[in-house]
Amino acid sequence: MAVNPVYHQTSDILQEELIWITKAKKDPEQFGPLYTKYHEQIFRYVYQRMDDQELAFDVTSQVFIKAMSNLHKYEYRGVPFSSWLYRIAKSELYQAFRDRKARKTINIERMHIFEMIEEFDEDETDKNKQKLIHCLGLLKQGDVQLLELRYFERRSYREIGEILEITENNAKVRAFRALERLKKLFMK
Amino acid sequence: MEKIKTIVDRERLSSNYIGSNQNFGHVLSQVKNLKPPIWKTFWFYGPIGLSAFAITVSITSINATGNYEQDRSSLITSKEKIETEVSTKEDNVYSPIAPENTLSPSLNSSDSVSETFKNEITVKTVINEQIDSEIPVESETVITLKKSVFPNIEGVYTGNIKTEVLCSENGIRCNDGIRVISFTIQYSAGLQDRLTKVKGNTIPNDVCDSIRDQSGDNMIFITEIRGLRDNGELVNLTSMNYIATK
Repeated sequence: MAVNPVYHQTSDILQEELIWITKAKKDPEQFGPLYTKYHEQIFRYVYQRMDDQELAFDVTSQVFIKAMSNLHKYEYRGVPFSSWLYRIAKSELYQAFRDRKARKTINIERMHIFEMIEEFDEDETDKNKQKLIHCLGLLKQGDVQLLELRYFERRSYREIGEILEITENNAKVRAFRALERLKKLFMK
Repeated sequence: MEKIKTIVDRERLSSNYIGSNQNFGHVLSQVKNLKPPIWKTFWFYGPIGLSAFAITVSITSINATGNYEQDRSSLITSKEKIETEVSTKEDNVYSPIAPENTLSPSLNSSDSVSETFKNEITVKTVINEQIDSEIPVESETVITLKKSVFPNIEGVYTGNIKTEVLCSENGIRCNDGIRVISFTIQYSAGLQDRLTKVKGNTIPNDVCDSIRDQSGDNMIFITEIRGLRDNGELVNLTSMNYIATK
């Protein structure tokens, strides 16, 4: 499976990013390059999980406000800065679902549905498509999140691990189990 | 279970459109306008911190008073117990000396009675000593609260003191009408330190001789200084450190 190429960066880029972060820690206005670089990624992550575009932009702004005000707590761990932003985004999303009554949404492409049905060795019919969509709605939030990250957004297990604050192997195991649970529901 | 909305093939927003919604200036101004949460401000930590400190201090002092009262009451109880034991012992001591028991037999048997009496008297003395040794404990507790009393030797409270002054006849005195009755002195004699417990307020001659014999300056530590007030109250006085010079 092809993975999201935006996330993976060379060590030179990471070092450049670290310089931006160091400058931004001293002067918030220096955060500009990081904002420009990651705004789209974070917005897409947020908007993927909600229906309201305006609210998604609002939540994205909140993510960057939180990131800038807590930048002094950030510690470089050899991974892209985005993994930290994703974690903030995840938390802000939950807050939006809770406080602003935003509706949890799964955005899925038809192609992904058929790939999944194929994975289950079933026929790619409209009936099966509807059944799969229904089954996705029955899954637990954690399972949906793993399936979204892995199968709909094509993220690597390493990236999933960093977003969910788990190990790469654990992300692999959890994603597999989530798929198994979906399959079980689908086969009923 | 929470209902999750599923959207299939939603129109993908272009990067240009998302980019046009970027507004770093707005984010920056929001960050600058952010006020720290109330629990991170001085107005929280000032009064709350002060109140917490005040509460801690009051609780500590209440506990200290409580412990003192408890110690005092337990001491009184133990003293009463000892007194009761003494009186019981005394009863036991004198009962064998009842005339019908002591006077009737031969001379040898009367000897044995007198021996018993002596033994019992010894026991009585021991008990009295126990009571004496208990009393200072009560006084020590009292005195810890009165540490403003400073003993001195000829007006020297601490630091350098000439050996002659140290060994003066006036000895350790106290300004508050307290008579020093005992103390412990630690000094160097040759290569070893010596510790001597002294009754009275003057440093004994043998100690003074040892200090004089010492070449160079000699560190003198006078501790466990106990004094007696006019009303008979026993007090612990603060320790003194001197450097005895020639």
